Amino acid sequence: MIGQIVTHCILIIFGLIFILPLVTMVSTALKPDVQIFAWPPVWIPNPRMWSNFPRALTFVPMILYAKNTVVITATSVIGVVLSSPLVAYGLARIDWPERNLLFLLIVSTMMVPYQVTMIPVYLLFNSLGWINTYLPLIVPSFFGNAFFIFLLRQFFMTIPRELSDAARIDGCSEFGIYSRIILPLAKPSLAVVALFQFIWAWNDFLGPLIYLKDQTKYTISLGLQQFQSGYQTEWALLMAAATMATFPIIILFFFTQRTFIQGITLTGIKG
Amino acid sequence: MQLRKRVLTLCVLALVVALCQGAVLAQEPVTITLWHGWTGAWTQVINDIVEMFEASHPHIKVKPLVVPYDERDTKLMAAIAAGDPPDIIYTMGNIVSYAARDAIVPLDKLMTPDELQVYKDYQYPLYQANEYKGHIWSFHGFVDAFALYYNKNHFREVGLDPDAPPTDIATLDAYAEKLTTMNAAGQIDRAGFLPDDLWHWADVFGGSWLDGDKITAAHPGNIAAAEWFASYSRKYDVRKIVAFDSSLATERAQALDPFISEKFSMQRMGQWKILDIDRYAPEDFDYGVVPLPAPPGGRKNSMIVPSGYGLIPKNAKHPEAALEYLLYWVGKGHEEDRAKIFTLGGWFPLSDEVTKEPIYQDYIQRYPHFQVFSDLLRKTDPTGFATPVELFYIDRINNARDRIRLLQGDPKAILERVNSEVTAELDKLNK
Amino acid sequence: MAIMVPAFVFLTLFVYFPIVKGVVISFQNYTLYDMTNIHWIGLDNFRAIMTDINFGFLQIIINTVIWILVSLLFQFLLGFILALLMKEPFRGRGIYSALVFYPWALSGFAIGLIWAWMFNGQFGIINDVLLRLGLISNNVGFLSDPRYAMVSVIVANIWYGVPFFAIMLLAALQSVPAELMEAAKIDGAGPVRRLFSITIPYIKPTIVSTTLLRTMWIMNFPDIIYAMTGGGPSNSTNILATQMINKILQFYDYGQGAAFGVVIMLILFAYAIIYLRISATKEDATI
Repeated sequence: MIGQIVTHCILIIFGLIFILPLVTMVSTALKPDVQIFAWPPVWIPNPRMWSNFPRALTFVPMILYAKNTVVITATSVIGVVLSSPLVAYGLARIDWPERNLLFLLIVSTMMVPYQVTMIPVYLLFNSLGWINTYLPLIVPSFFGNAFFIFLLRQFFMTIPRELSDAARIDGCSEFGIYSRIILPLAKPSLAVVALFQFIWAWNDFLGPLIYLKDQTKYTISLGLQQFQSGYQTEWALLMAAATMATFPIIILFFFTQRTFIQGITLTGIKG
Repeated sequence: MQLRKRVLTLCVLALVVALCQGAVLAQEPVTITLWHGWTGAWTQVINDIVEMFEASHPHIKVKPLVVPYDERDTKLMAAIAAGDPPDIIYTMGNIVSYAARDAIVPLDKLMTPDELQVYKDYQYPLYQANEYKGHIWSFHGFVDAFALYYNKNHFREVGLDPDAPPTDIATLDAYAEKLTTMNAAGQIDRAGFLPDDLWHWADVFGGSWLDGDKITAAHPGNIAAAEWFASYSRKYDVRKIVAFDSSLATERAQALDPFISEKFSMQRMGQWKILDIDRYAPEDFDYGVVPLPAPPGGRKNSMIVPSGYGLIPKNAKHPEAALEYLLYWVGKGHEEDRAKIFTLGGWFPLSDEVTKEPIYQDYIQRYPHFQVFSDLLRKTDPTGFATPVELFYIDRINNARDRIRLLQGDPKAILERVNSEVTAELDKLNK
Repeated sequence: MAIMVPAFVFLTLFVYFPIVKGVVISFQNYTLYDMTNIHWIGLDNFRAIMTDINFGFLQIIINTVIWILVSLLFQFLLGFILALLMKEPFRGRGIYSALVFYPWALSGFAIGLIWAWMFNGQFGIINDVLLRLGLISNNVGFLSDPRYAMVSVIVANIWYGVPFFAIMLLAALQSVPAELMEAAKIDGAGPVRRLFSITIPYIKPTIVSTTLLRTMWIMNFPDIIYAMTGGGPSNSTNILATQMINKILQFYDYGQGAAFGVVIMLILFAYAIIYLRISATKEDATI
C-alpha cells in the first residue's frame, strides 16, 4: 500500500516535470501580446486568446503545409512498411554468404552524421531532376531504413525456423512464406516502424528545406520557422502552431500505444 | 536510303518546330526566382512588392520564396553546389566574402551608365557599402540603423529630464548608474544600460576594424570601447551582469525583449523596435530615441548599417531580369510605390525623393521615431565592413566581446589576439 | 535474395556513395564560395580543426563526452524508473503514457525554442519556479552563464530522450516471464534483488542496444544545442556536431565540416565496437 502511494507520488512528480514545457507552450500560445514579456511570468493568461490558434493558421499558410506534410508522411510510412521488412527478412531468414557483413554495413550507416552526406545526396537527386519534388523525401523510404531493418531483423530472428521449413515442404515459395506467414506475425512490429517513421517524416526539417523550392510545397516544419524573422518572433502564434503540429502524433500514439508497446516487446530490440 | 531520307526529313521538321516554339517562348515572360527571409506577415509585403513589379514589368515574372534566415545557407549551398542558384538572394551581409570568391555577379557590368547614375542617386549614402575592388556587388533592399532607445518613465522616476537623454558616454554611464535598480538581495533588478555590441560601439569610440584590406582589431578606439565594456563588468560585478543579461548568449532568441518588459532603461536597438514596442508594450509605455552617445573624440551619430543586400549569384539563369528587379527596389520612377513599400515593412528610405512622398510622410507622422533614423542616414556616413573574412571576423569579435565582458583577460591583449587570428585567416585566403 | 537487389542498389547509390563522397570531401578544399576551385589538400582540414585555437578541439571533445554521458545516463535512469513504475497498470495509464511520450513528438527546433524560453534569465518560468520554491534568490542566466549553459541544454536533452528509454524498456520489462519473477519471490528474493538478478540480466540485450542507438542519436542530434545556445557562451556548449554545423553554415567550409563528420564517424565506430565487446553476450556476437 505504502509502496503504491510512493509510486503514485513519483509518477505525479515525474508527470509535472514532464508537462512543464507543454504547459509553457500552451500557455504562451494563449497569451495576448502584452503578457508575453511579463515578469513574473503569467502562468494562466487572461484573457485567453483562443483566436491565436486560427490566426496562426493564416499567418503562415499552415493548413496547406499540413496537407503537404500529410502526403509526404503517409507515403513515406507506406514506403518503409513495405520495404524494411523485406530487407530485414532477407538478412534474417535467408542464408547467403556475407549477409552479416551486409547487415553490419547497413547498421553502420546510422553512425554517419546527416550533414556529411547532405551535399553528395543533393547532387545525385539533382542529376535525376528530382529537386523541388517530393521524390527525394519519399523515394528513399521505399528502399528500407537502417534502423527499421535492424529492428525488424531482431524480430524475424526470433520466429522459429520450423515455421518456414514446414511451409516450404508444403510447396510455399520464399515470397509466400514471407507474405503469408512472417508478415502477419510482424504486424505489431510494423506498427512500431510506422510510428517512428511518422514522427521522423512529420518533423523532418532539413530534407524539405533543401529540396523544396516552391512555397506551396512547403511542410509544417518549414512553416514553424516562418514565425521567426530576422526582426521578431511571433511567440504566441509560434507556440499555437507548434501545439497544433504535435496533435496528430500524440493522438496517433494515444490510440496505438498498446500495439506500439506490444510491437517493441516482440522485436525486443535485442542486440 | 529511302528510310534514312525520311528520318532526316523528320529530324529537320522537328528542328523547325522546336525553333518555332523557341521563338514563341522568347516572347513569354522570363521567370526569376527570389529567395528572401521575410516570414509571416512580411511575406505578404514581399508578395505585394512583387505584384507591383510585375504590373510594371510584364516581361518578367518573379517567383519569391521564403527561406528562414537561420537555415538559408544550407539551402543556398546545396543549390550552388548543384549549379542551380536563385536569380536574386537577399542576405544580411557578407557580400565581400562572396565577391572575393567570385560567387556573385558584379552588377556594374550589367548596368547602363544611366542605371549606374540611378543607383548612385538612390542608394546614397550607402552605395559604398556595396562596393569592393571597384565593382558594385549588391543593392540595398532595406536598411537597418541603430540608435539609443530610452524609457522616459524611468527617467521621470529617478528625477532625470525625460527630454534630455545622454549625448556623451560619461553622461550615459552616470544615467545608467542612476537608472539601475537592485533588489533586496543586491542583484540587478533593472539595468540602466549595458554595452552590447563591441563591433558597433568601437565605431562610436572612434575605432575601426579595417584599414583598407588591413585588419585593425587592436585599433586604439576599439581598445577604448573594450575597456568601456569591461568597466561595466567591474562596476556591477560580472556575475550579476551575467545573471541579468541573458541576451549575452541567446541572440537567437533575440525577440525576447527586455526593453519592452522594462528590464532595461536604455538600450541600443534598431529601427524595427518601433513597431515591436507599438505592438507589445503597455499603453503607458513612454520612450524616446536618440543617436548613440559618443565620447569626446569619438564618432557622433554612428549608426552602422547591417543591411539586407540583394545580390545575383553566379550562374543565375536570368541576371538581366534580376537586375531590373533590383533597380525597381531602388525606386527610380515609381517613388510612390517605393514609399509604400517602406510603410509596409517598417523600413526607411535611402533617397530623399522617396522620403518626400506624402505616403511616407504620413507614416512618419504616425511613428515619429522613424525620423531619427531617417535623419541619421543624412547626417553620417555608415561604416562599411568590406572584408572577405567578414563572418570569421565578426565571430571573433563577438567571442572577444564575451571574454572581455566576463573579464577573462586584458581587453587590449584579447583584441590583439583577434587581430593576429583574423590576419592569419586573411593571409590564408590570399595565398 | 532477388527481392532485395533494388534495396542494395539503392543503398550503394544513395547511401554509400554519398558517404564515400563525404569522406573524400574531408580531404578537399571545398567551400561554398569556391565551388569552382575544389582540390585535394590532404590532411589540412583535419589539422585545421584540431589546431583551431579559437575552438579548442580538446574542449569540444570534452564537451561532447559530457553532453553524451550525462544525457545518456539520466535519460536511461529516469526512463528505466519510469518504465518500472508504469509496468503495473493504474487508472489513467493511457493518458499518462501519452503525456510522457509527448517530448518525442516535438521537433528539435520546437524543443530548443521552448526550453530556451523556459530557461530565459528574464522571463523564464524556470527562474520563476525556483524563486517561488526559494531555491534561488535571484534570476539565473542559465543560457548566458558558461557555468550553467551545458547543464541547461543537457536538461532539455534528457527531457527529450527519457520517453524513448521509458517505452523501449517498458516493452522489454513486459517480456520478462512472470513465472521467473514468481519463482524468485518464492525463493525469498526482495524487489531490489529481483531487479538486479532477474530483470536486468533478462533485459540486458535491450539495454545494450538502446543505449548504443541512443548514443549515436545524441551524438548526431545537435539541434537542441543549436537552437538554445548555438554552442556558446564562449564555446561552453560547443560539441563536435554543433561545430560541424558552424563550420558549414557560418564559415561555409564544407571540407572542414566533413572532417568533423569523419571524426564523429570514427569515434562512433570505435565506441560501438568497444561497447559491444564489453557487453558481449552470445546474441550480441551477430552485430
